[in-house]
Amino acid sequence: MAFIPLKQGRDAGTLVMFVVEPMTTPLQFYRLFRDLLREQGVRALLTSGMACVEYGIQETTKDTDWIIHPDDFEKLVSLLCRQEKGLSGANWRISYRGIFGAPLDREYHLGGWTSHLIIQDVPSSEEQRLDFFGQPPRLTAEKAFAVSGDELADELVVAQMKKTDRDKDWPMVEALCDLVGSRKNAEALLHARSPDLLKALWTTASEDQRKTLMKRRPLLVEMDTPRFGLRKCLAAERTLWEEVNKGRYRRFQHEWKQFIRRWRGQNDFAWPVSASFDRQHDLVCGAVRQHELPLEPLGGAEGRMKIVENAQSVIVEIYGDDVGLLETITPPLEEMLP
Amino acid sequence: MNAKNDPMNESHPEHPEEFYEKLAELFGQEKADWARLPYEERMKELERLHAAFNTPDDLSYWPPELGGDADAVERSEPFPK
Repeated sequence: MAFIPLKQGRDAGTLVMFVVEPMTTPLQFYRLFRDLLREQGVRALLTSGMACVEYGIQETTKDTDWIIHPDDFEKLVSLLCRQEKGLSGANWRISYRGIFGAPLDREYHLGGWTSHLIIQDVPSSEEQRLDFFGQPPRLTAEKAFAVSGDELADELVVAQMKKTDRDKDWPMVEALCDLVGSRKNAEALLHARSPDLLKALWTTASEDQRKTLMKRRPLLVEMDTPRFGLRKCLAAERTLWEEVNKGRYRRFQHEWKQFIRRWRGQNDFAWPVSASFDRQHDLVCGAVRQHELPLEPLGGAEGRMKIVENAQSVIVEIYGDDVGLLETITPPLEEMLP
Repeated sequence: MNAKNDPMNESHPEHPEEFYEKLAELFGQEKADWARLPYEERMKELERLHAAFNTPDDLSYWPPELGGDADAVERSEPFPK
């Protein structure tokens, strides 16, 4: 715990009095929360920015992002309710954030929704922001847990999640691949962003590995038989990922806005509310079902394919309709939107 | 966490020099130097950065239905994860 002065005397001649209250820093809080998850048997993986920090790649984000095993959301909600209890408990203040997202509910998380909370563990600490994923974007929880250790998402899981439309995320992908590549792990070829790193990794991969990885990232065909040029393919591929992410996100956002409009039409609409977390959770779980927030906004394989096709149309707009370029840069649907 | 990916594990091998060079190339020398620090020192330095700077929250915009900026959601750039 760190300590901060709350009050101090003004006059140099008077005894300076300090009233100290403990405060929790974002790093301390993340460790505290990790330990609680472990103690309560909630299977969870730290991911995104704070995971990069653990890997030695600096991100100054204070948020913590967690992949929660879809079967453990009830345990997580129980943990949070328990932490909020006063007198005999930790007396945390916990709120769902007033941004779009779904409750901590297994069914919604299986459909790709996320949940966002603010937690204040002691009054003098800043609010801690936590994001939860039951199915991380561009991955499945099953895959993430299968390849990761107990508490920290594997580097390549983080890299796959970082294929967003935010510029700041792409250097992270490259750095994580460099780290994995230094252990001679050929899987880094699935995500590496620079021609130099790709070439270095390619030399370490066996023929079998190359064939397998090429199926998951068709761009790798350019390593042995260049046709469009690696730089052009890398740029087009990144744009494709960015557009797919935008399309995916818009679907969730659209459904959430429609849901909020339906909910708001009710006379007693109030959200967010300052109630205990168990009441907030009950309220939002009831609302999403009563006002029909869809469980799975991406709409199966057909809906997902449509998102990819829209993204491909942007590629054609930017790079022209070179025969074969789209095939060369488009990973299979199960890699982009599993 | 396992022996492979536990950064606090003292037996965790040092990263090759090329990794730090890559970090310098991608993020600048300061962040590469930070990565070279032992784990505990790295985290102390990060605590100092957290205390000194308020990092932007990329999920903070509110939709119009909840009293936020009506256009912010539509034009929000970049989108969250």
